[in-house]
Amino acid sequence: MAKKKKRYAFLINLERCIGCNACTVSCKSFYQLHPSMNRRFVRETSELLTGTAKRNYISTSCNHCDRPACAAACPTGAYLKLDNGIVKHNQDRCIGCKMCATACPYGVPQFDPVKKKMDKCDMCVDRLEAGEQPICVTSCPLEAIQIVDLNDIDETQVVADVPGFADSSITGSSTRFILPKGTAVVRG
Amino acid sequence: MEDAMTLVIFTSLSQMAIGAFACLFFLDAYQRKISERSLTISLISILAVSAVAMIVSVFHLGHPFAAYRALLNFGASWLTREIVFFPLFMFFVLMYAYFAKTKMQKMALGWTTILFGAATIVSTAMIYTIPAVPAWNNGTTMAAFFLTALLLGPVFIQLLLGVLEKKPVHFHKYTTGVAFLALLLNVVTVSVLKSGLPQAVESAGLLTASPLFWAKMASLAAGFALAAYLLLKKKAGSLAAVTTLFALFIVAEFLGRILFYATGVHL
Repeated sequence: MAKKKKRYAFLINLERCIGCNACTVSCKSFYQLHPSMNRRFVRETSELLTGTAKRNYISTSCNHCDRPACAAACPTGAYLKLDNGIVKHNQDRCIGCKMCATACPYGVPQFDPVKKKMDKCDMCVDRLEAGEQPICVTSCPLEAIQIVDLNDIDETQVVADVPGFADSSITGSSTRFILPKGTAVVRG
Repeated sequence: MEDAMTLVIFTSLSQMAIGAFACLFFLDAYQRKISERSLTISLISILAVSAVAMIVSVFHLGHPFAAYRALLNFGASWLTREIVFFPLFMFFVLMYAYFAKTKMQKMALGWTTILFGAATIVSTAMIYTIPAVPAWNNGTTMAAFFLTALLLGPVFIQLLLGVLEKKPVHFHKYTTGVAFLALLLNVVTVSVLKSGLPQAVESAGLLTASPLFWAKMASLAAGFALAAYLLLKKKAGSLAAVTTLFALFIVAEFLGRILFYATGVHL
């Protein structure tokens, strides 16, 4: 039987994320990004995400969509959906028209003001191919970020949408989240 | 969107040029109302406006001199299609100027040019008809872009022929109708946005709170009133009246396009 193609995706565990921004900073440092840019963002979610007041954080990056809007919008064909599910941006082709940033529902691609080209996360594809984990994964002190193969995970244990963020069905976002559990309400 | 001014100029002028050619073609091929000299100068003017639009458009790129690479994704990208169709439109305007001598040649070249012009407008509208910006992701984007062509193009030709032939062409009935449609489209657009996703509702709020929106509406309404007055009085209209019409409509369309980019709230 033919082996199924891998479908790499980020799995973000919101129960674990403490909003320390180690993922953001390590990625930025590793790729020497311009100060105005990030490939990963950490934001605070609504306190009511779990139904009870609780501070939670969410770490997001490129969602490596099944139907990437960036690839459809790009006039130079600089975006490529690889066989392993990763959406890779070829900066050599990019002319900095910013259409990808406009078309991406998650506002992922960023304009590099020095190179005058777009930039986005490629899931550290070179590291993955060399058997290493992406920088954000290795830098997270709570192991809140994982790379998973969507063929292998139990979809009933994860979600593709987090309230307050763009609908994953628009472009078939591959990122999955483990939502935080609600805290017990303790009253004196 | 950042650097939107170049896109405001490109989209408005390219659509005006396409509308102007369509109007000129109908006057030339169907009504035979234009002298050879006026036709040539009008076609050159359309090409000049198109060239300005195209040159300005590349300056919103990070790498303007690599703009040719934007031709590489015709199969998927509406931006590539726009970049292919608009120069083809310009090429056929040039062909029309040189080779459209008989009725048959005028028909063949004229309709081909209009086809590429329409394809350009469709492509431009489709670039912005994207789920990421709910305010743009509906039929009003396409309608607004075609209305810009239908409103500005004929008035531009009216103005040119007024200057060249000293007797303004009379199509106030048409202008009144299109100006009314343009006014109506603004009402429809605000209604559509208000019934859409939260980001579209936010866009509607930004739109109606902007003084530019009301300046645009006032300009459009004044243009509509002037065209309607000339229609009712059965006047061809002086050159000053046509110039005023053109000024009112171009201000309205530029303001409208600035607002289009400025109020499109991303998801």
